[in-house]
Amino acid sequence: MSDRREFIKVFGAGVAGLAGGYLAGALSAESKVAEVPSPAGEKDVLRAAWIYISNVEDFGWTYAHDLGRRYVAERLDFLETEYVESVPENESLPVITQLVNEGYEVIFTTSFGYMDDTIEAGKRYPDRIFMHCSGYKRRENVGTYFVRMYQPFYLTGLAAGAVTESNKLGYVAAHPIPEVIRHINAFHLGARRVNPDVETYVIWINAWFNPEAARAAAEQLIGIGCDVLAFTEDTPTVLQVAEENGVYSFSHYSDMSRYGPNAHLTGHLANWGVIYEDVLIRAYTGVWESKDYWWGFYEGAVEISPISDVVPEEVKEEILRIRDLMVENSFEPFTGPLVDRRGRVRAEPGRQLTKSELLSMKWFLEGVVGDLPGEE
Amino acid sequence: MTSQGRSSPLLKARNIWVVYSDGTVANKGVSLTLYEGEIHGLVGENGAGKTSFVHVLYGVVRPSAGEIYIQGVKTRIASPQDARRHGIFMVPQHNVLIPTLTGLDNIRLSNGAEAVDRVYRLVDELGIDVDLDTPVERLERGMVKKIEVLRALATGAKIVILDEPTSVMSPVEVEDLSRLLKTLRGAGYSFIFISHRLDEVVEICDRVTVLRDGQVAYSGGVDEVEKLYRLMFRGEEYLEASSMRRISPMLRVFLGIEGNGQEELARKYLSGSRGFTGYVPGNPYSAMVPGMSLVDNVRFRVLDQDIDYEGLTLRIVRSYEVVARDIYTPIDRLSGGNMQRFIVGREVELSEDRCVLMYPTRGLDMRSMALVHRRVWDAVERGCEVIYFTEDMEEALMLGGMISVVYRGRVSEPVSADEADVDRLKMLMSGIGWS
Amino acid sequence: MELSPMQIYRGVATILAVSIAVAVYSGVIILYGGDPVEAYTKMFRNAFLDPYGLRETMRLASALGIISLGLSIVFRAGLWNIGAEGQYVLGGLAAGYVVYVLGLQQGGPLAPLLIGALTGGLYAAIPGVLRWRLGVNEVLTTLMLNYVALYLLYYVVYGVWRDPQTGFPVTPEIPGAYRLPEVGGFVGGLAIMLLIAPALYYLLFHTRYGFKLRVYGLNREAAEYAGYDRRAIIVGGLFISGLLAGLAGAGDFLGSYYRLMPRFSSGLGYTAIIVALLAYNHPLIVPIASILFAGFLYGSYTLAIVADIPTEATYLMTGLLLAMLVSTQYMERWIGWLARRL
Repeated sequence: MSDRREFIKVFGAGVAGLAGGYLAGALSAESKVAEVPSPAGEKDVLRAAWIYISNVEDFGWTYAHDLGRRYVAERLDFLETEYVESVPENESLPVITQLVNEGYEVIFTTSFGYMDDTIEAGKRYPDRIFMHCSGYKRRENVGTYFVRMYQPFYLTGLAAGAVTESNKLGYVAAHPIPEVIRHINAFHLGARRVNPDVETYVIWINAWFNPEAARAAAEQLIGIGCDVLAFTEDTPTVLQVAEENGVYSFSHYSDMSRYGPNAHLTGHLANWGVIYEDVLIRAYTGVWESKDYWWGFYEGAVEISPISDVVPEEVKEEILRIRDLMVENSFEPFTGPLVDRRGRVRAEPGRQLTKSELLSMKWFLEGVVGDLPGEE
Repeated sequence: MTSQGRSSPLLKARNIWVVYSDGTVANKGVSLTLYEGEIHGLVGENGAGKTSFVHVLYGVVRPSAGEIYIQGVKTRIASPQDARRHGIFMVPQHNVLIPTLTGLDNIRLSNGAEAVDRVYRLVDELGIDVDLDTPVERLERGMVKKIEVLRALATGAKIVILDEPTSVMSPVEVEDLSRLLKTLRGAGYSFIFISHRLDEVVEICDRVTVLRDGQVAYSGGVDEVEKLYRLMFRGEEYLEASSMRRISPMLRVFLGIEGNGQEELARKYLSGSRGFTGYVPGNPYSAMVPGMSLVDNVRFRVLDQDIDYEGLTLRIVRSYEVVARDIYTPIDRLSGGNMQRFIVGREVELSEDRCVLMYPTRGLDMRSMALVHRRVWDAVERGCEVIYFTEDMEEALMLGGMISVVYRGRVSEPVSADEADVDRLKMLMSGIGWS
Repeated sequence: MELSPMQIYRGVATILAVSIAVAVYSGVIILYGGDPVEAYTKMFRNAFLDPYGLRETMRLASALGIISLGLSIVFRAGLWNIGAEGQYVLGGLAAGYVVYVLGLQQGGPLAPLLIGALTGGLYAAIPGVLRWRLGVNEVLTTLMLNYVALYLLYYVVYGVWRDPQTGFPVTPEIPGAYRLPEVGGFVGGLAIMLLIAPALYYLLFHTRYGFKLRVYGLNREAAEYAGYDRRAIIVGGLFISGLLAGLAGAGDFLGSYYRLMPRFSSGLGYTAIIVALLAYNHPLIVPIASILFAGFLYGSYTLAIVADIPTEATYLMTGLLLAMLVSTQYMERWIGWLARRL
């Protein structure tokens, strides 16, 4: 333990006080480096907490994050975890404050709307570590993280392209932001790989969580002839609608197959646990520094679900082959030639899009149908 | 006397005490005995404890001490449901029937088809004249009261408490109700008849109990009316009121049952006056602000004027004998009679050249009525025209002034009170003799 | 100020109600395996003793209190403004209009703040005019207008004012020039609330207008009988309450969120109704009630953290507290009776 103390001093205020900032945090929020006794006494404990936007039982976004929390809670014996669910976006700062007062040293805020509050908390508590999911603001003790979800979307696109009979794919989309646009383009790109005739129809529901709107959009897409539906929404609603209408859909973020046993083709899953594990081990050993985690197959942060037998055997093999290539980091879906639907060349043959190009994507590939606000 | 000579009383209340949570002692050991087939009058001024006492019998108020015996058995009446189970029913002062339904439907609705049969049987056997097939809102109030009595009997009541049933009835209607009660008395039903009109009590009741200050002042036969008057009104005031009969064209009295066009008439008098016109509406609750002090209840009426509100309030409280802890007491803490005298007082005192008073003494006892009459005359004497509406012929005659009868929007030629023909007034009020 | 027995009973009843709610909820905490004393201690510490916790509590308390103050006026007039939520949102939207569309730089936050407040007031005056002219029930109209304001917010946040940089459904952060100065963290908002409270007290209890409002609230018929101007009472009362809700909305936009987002108000306008009722619609009690309630709301997260109670179950505490306070009316009588006996 004394070794660790030395370590902390070396790494400075940003990562200090991990072991036992309990009293320091409680008594004086302004306090910097802490020479305080560990409350746990013998064994050094790291306390981490998660703030969730919805209930852990939503079977989508929050559920996946909580799976990640449980993953680390089981594997890291120095770790104590806590979570607070259903925290409205405007109220995350007081929740963070209380978590800090209760001695939590690493706090994960898992909704975009928490961004400003997380940064503010970083300013207030320079001796704590904050990780904000899906945002773009960082400071020395506030990092960001996300998964390369577009990679599994590319693979599920392959499955969609193989099974569609109408050559019309549907996409129930949350918000017209680069993240979702990326997923749509990757899905479309994958489908075109096995079926150059497919078109992908997009409907925006302007919500992360809105089962009613998702249902309406899904039914509308089925109405215009789409027979495979992908989606970005936090519930299994679209999969349920697909099951009711005899078309196909996927799991999103966590396994949803039981909501549509026949409709379920495969799924794009996130394994937040590996990111949490990395963050927490670094925090515990004092080597954490602020950065943006953007992890994919290579790091084990994304995965696909078992593939339905509806998908032809040769496509199934192709999907698994490409998956393995991505695990080895030797394949990137967004590799040229890429031409957007307005005819602009986005990547010359052989060139991969850069991270910043991926993060600011505001265009649709040729063959994606639907309005795109702010299209470039 | 039908009640005499019976051995076991139907209902006996012994030594009832009622002490309210705010410390008011409403009943100080009241006893009353009711025999089968008896109409028992219960009289007393406002605040004498009549309402508290019958509320005890009806299970609304729990007595602080005392016992109730029903047919000789000591009984605890915990609620109105309880009371009805023991055959006691109360007909409140104000109509509780649903106005759009007929009498029959009202009875069926609250007591079921069985009750309807029972009412039919009563009506047939006793030859009762009652209209059960017209919506209640189209009936005269006397008829409505009769239906309410029958409804009470339909529930199986043996004892019916009537709370001031005649307060808003024309003389003809009172006679009609009196006939019904006497018929029912013959069939073995008993009544407790609350009133402050002694002439009625003498006419209708077998025996009477007089309450004063929460105590029984007299209980016995009705023959000694003079004695009753003295007991109830402490003598002089009543005499003074009755001897005050003066005549002035400045005092216009409109006699008639409410709803015969008085509103329109009042509105006419409320406009076209130069100075402040005092006005007591038919419902005095719409002229007061509950939750506000007496001072504020004066202030709200004449808000934008340069007046010594405290001084004026104090004057009203004094000259109208309003019983209140002080002028900062919320008005809703006053008893009904005090509240009403305060409102009447405020309007009369504020009036400059005209004052419109609608039924200002309704529900007041004789003593309070005499007081109001005196103040009205004071106003007349200082040159204020007073427009006075009343439903009570006796009151109109006592008050003096120029009397007109109001009936279905028509107004009779004014006659001075000392020349008025009582029988003719009665006829006009009942709709007879209009050309 | 001499306290009447009624006021004393009322105070005792309120304390009793809170105690019962706390006692019942202690049982819930024990059921979840927590230590109630520890939980409540930490709740209090987090909400009031911790410097940042205090700041958050006071920030919420001032927004809540300013809205509740307006409501206490209009509730005194017997008018049910259920639309503070919408007036708050519209206050924020109007301030946003000044910043994003007009770009009025002069005066910094002052112009958007005042225009936000005024818009909230005018927005509340609409149901007032409908009530005054056509007799339309203000409960319905104020409630409905909440949705209009909410969808207007969605329209700008998802549409025309969406942050073009990120595409996320939030508006861009406002430039520093528009931001309300941070006076010691929470002191600014608190000071505004504490200034408004006595002003409204004076209005209500020491002016003719306030007197008329109260008369109208206690007995509408009496107000008509005395010939009061209904327009001034109805439209004016609703305007004042909307003005303050709009001020709170604009204030939160300019002083704490610096942007608009779909969940700009998480039910503040509804919570304020509870606070006003808790404070017996008395402008001098509202600040106290709003501070306690804000502390309680934030402290409820402590329960989720310390006692591992699901966040949803913490709403139970709010419900319990309300149920208990509603029953205080009965307790008042009972205490009065008891006081006579002793």
